This record gives sequence, structure tokens and C-alpha cells, in this order.
Amino acid sequence: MSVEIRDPEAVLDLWQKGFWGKGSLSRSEPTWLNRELRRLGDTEVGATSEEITRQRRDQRKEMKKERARKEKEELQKVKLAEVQGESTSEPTSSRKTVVADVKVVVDLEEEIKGLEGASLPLEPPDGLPTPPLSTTDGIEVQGSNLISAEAEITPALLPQPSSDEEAVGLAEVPKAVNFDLALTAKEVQPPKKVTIDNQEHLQLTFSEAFFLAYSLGVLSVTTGSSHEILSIRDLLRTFLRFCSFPPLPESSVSLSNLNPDSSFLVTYVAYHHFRSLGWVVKSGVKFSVDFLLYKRGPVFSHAEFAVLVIPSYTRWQNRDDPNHGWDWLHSVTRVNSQVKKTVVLVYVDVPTPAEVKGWDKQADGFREVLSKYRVREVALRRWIPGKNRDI
Amino acid sequence: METDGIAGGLDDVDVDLSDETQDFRFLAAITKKGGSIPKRGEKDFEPDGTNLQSSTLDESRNAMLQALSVERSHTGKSRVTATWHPSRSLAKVHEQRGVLFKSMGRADKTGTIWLLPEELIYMVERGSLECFYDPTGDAGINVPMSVQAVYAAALPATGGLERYQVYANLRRTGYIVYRDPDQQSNELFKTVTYQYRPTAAVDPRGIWGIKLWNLGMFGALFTSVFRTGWSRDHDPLRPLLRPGAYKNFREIYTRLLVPRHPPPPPPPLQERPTAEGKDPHFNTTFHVWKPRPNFKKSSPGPPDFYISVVSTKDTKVPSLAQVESLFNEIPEEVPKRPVGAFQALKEGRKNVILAVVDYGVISYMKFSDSRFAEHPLDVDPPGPGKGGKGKGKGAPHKSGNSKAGAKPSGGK
Repeated sequence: MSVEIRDPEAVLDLWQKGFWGKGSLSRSEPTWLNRELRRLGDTEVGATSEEITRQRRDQRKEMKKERARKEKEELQKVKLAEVQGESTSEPTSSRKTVVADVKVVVDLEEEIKGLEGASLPLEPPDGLPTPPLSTTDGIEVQGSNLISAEAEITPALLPQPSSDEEAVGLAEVPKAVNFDLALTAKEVQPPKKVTIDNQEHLQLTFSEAFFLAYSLGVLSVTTGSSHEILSIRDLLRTFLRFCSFPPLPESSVSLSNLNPDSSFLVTYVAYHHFRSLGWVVKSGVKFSVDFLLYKRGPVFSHAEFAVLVIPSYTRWQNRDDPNHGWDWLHSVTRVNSQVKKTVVLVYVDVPTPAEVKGWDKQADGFREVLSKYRVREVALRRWIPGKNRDI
Repeated sequence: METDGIAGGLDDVDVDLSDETQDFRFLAAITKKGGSIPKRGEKDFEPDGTNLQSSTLDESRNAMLQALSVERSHTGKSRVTATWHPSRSLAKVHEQRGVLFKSMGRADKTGTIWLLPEELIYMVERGSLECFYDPTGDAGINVPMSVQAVYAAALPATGGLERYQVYANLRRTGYIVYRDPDQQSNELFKTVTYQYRPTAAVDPRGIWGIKLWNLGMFGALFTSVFRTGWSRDHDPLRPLLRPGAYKNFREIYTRLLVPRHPPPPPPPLQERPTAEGKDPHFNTTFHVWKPRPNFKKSSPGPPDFYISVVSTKDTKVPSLAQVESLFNEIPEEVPKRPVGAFQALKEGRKNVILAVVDYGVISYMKFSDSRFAEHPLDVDPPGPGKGGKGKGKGAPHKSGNSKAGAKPSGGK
């Protein structure tokens, strides 16, 4: 469940000024329209970041292919030398000289062929454009649970360049590529303009939407069923209800008897904590964590930290802290060390309901509620004895 | 885009060579010529059908068997003997010889060297010491002990098999390891010359203090102006960021910060570490020093690492209370050289290494007290004088500037 932004201007603003949300049909930045235009042969749209990524991957694949070929050649040489060596019966001395270069060839070429086959459907042959879908019915989620947003946005919050500039910066990288055939062929084509409807919208998580609505006061949200703008009070109530699955019954969520242990509140406290310290916080579901922390934003550098939110109940009576096994932690740190991220355990110490009682009677009461949560970060790193000696 | 990192190779620090299949040919090289340990090569997984590969494997296998088949013996010159005293849970060394004693054992007032049980097992196991059993405590009977007997007699006194496994692993890697003084059962080992507890000046509560950016006088002025002229004065959900003119992003971020209240006071510092009051599982087990030639066991200086040994059999990922009790036990590290913000966050001000033992397999994990709130990121683009550090980064900075200029107007 998410908050949807459909106004193109708002989508652009939200992405460019703080990297809020995610395109519903894209990995991150909403680029579906541009990708689609380029696929249909539009000549006015620049390369999208997805294309650049794919190009880089192709280069890498090519490089691996070349390496596999060389290894195979080397292996053939060794075999040939051994056969000749047997006939001349002088094995050991000549053998030693090749040792360093020999690696076992796992049939990389086969593997790469398999990869190529798999990636083919992504790039349909030119000249056969699939007709654009005429309605948006296919993607729109029906029902009263849907929350959509008409965004009213004040300008920039974070100093970020537009994504186009970034794309240009990246596009300069593959200049040294050796297979430009496809690109040069396209340049010859006459200019063409394609018009299609944008079927993509921007999705905001509950935490993002609440930060924009409550902390910054720049977002108004409506529900799918009516055009009336939800008050922040109603928005909070809605998020408290829908943060669990199945959604809580309306009667069980009360703002005056706020339950600080709501998963929305715990997540939001962690989100707010890092966002207010200047980090760009994105979902970390791809790396089995709760959040990824970017410095400045995802288009500039890879995420530095991967955050695991762990609720704690030191102030609660008879309430055990959640227990994760070591295997769980090991797998998370393994995955994240592969992608060079530091895992951070973020303990969110949840206040008791009694501590937050009466918050809705005073000015800035919710700020007071947030301040009752304690946040403590513990960075994890693998420590290897052999690498930490000075001598 | 993140997936790009996968192909980028591993962080050097996170690669553990001992995870790899080993090529034992280096053993042959050592025994034959006394040469240095060579670097291990690439992994070989699958037979590629060459004689070269199969003979390489053969050589490696033979080298390993040969190394294992060497008869282990004490040479007359360096023979060290000791007697196990079950009543004291210590072993009395008859005469100390060899370099190992530079970093093991401790002498009492009479100059007799006593070994801790883990030190005893370690030395017997590696063939550096022969142990005798003395049930009465007076060196009357001398029953020689086998390795098994030493294990049976001394292991319970080490605090459990996991602790000994970690101890032996660290010793073999070259580190100097002593038990945390609070874990010592014998008075002889309890006194140390270095500071290993947080000093009273460093109140652990300090880190929770409301040490946020000061709004300053101007900030207060602004806030009061908006308070009076703001219609939603009693709204508990009033946006944190009031409409108004902000000169830079830092001002905005300052208003978004939520002050954190100090937690309920932690147990007072004075009456802390009695062994009973601690968490039975998460406490400092070992103090560890990096290998160094001039190590003095009488005055070692503060340890380089604090290790807590935990077993997967009876522990899970520590809770907040357990992590905090671990951090409360150790002093803060002062960084020797200025480090970048990322590095500071990764290294933290306090570090505990958890040695997680899973039925004999040890994985070390460093838990660092990060304190993100002390390292806020730069949110404002660098001024015109400082801009344009590199060609690649110049462009984003400039565009950031132009946007900042266009920025804030009123909210709703």
C-alpha cells in the first residue's frame, strides 16, 4: 500500500528535490515514459539510466566472455604441451613455467549464452512497437483502501541536480566501448516524435508521505474514495490502521490512546531520525534490510549504510524484545558485505502507552511523542583476526 | 543500481582466506627449506583434465600428510613442565623457558609463574609444555597428564569450551589474550595496571543528552515569531517546519530534528561490575592486544580489542539492553587521527567484538557505537569559494546552488 502521486510536475519535484518515492513501473526513478518513448523510436528523449546500466552490464559481460576465451586458450596450450611433453618425456621442468596463468574454466561461455537468451525478451526487435495501452485500468488498484495523493509541493528541500544532468554525466563513461554499432545506426534515423500517455505514477511509502505531510507540511493526501483532503490527524489514523496486514479495524485505532508500538510509528521514528540528519533514506528490501542510507541521493553514490530497525521494549513490563537468531544476522551481513554496505542495527526503544498519554491535548504533542522514542545505532562489521594485526 | 556493487569485488577486509580450500604445498616448502609462508593462490574447483592440475593436487595432499605425520616431541633444551593445582584452578610452572611466557601466565610474590587453565591447555596442545597432576597441592606425586587429561581437568575452569576455542584461535593468530579481570577467579590475575572501565567523567548518559544544534538566539526569535502568528497553535500535529524564510538548508534540518530525552538513569557506575550483576552471556570475556615484540605482561597498556564470547546455543542477537551493558563496560576510544564522517560512524567510539561460536565455528563481529546524531551530513552546497573540487562533482554542486536560491516559499 502506498501513497500515489500522479501529477507529473509533482512527481518530478518529489524525485528531484530529495529523491522521494519510487516509480511504479521503474526500479527507482520514474523513467517508464522515457523508456517507452525511446523504445517506440522517439528521437528527442535522451538515454535513461536503465539503458546506461544495461550498457555497462553488457560491457562487463563482453569482458567476461573475453576472459573466458583466453582462459580456455591457455588451457588448450597446457594440454597441448602435456601431450607433446609425454612424447618427448620431459615433463616437470616445462610444466612449471605455465602454472601461474592457468585457471580452471567453468564453462563461462555457456553461462553467458544462457544469460543472453534470458535477456532477449527485454529488447523487442526494432520496427515492431507494441501498441500503447489505451487505459490505465490495468494498473490502478481498486477499492476504498487506496490512498492517492494530490500533491501540493513547495520547492526544493535538498540541493539536488536534475536527473538529466546525472544521466549526461553517466553517459560520458562508456565512450571507450567497442560496440557502438547499435547507437550509430540510430543516429541516422530521421527525427521522430511519439506521443503516449504516461501510465506510471510515483509511489510514496507511509513514512515518506507522513514526513512530507507532517514534518514539512507540504503534502496533502486524499483517499481513493473521496476528494476531500485528509487532515494530518486522519492521515496518521489511516497509516496506523493500514500499516499491518490485514488492516486493523477502525475501532481499534485511537489517537488519544495511542499505541506507541505500532509498526508504522517504529518505522517512522527511524525514518525521521535519519532523514532529519541529512541522509536520503530509501527502502532496503532488496538487501534484506529496512532502509538504505544514501549521502545526498541514490544517483550520486551507492548507499553507504544498510539499516535494520529493531524495536526494543526496555521500558515495558513483561514484554520481551524480539529475538533474531544469529543465522539471520549472519545472512544479512553477508549479503551486505557483498555490496559493500555497512549494516547498522538501529534499536528503537519504544515508550509505553502511559508515557505518551495526553499528547493530543498539547501543542506539538506529536513531536513530544517522537522524542520519547530512543534511537541507538550499532554498526556491524565482520572482524577477521588475520587482517587486524599490525605485524 | 546497487547491484553494480556485486560485480565490483569484495572489500578486502571482508575476505577471510581461511574460508578457502587450502593448498598445502606451502607446508612442504617450509619443512624443506625453512622458507617463508607463500601467498595462497586461486581456488581450483573442477578437474580440467590436465596432468598439471592432478599433480598439483597430489603434491598438496602429500605435503599435508607429511606435515601431519611429523612426530611431535619436546627437545631437551626447551622442555617446560608444570603442575596442575585443581584447588586453585591454576598450573604452577616449574621453570619458565621460551618466548611464550612473555605474554602468558603471571608471577606471584615469590616469583613463581602460574598459568591460567586456558593457557595451560593451549601450551600442552601445541606441545610446548608437559603437565603433571598434583591432587594434594604439594609437589609430592607426579602423575603425567595426557592432552585429554589436561582438557578434562582444566576446561571447566576456562569458562566453557567456546571460550577456550576463541582463546586458542586468537593465540594461534598471534594475538596476546588475557581474561577480563572481572572474569578472573584468582586474585593473582585480578589486578591490572591499565584503565579498562569507563572513567566516571564519561557519563554514559551523555550520549543521550539533548546535544543537538543550538537554535541560537536568532532561532529562538524566529520560533517565537512564528508561534505567535500561527493559527494552529494548539495543534498536536502541527508541522515541524513552519512556513517562513530560511536562509539555508541547515536551518530547515535543525527544525526537523526531534530532541531525544535522556533515558531513565542507568545503574550507577560505582556499584557496577560484580560478576553476578552482569548479563550472563553478553559481557567482556577477553582483553586482546595486537602482537607486538615489546609486550610487557606486567604493564601491557590498554587493550586493543575487547572480545565477548557468545555461543549460538544459548544466545540470540543481543537486545538493546545487552548491547548497552556491553558498551557500558568499556572505555571510549579517542581516535588517533581525524577520520572522515563515514569512517567515524563505522568505527564508533566504543567497539566490542562479539565472537559468535557456532559449535566450533567462530565468527567475529565488531559492534560499534555509531552515534549518527553526532555526525550530521552537510546539507548545504559548499560555498562558491570551495565549490568544484573535481570535474565530475562540480556540476551537481552548481545546480544545487541554483536550486537553493529558488527555494523556500510559504507552505500552505
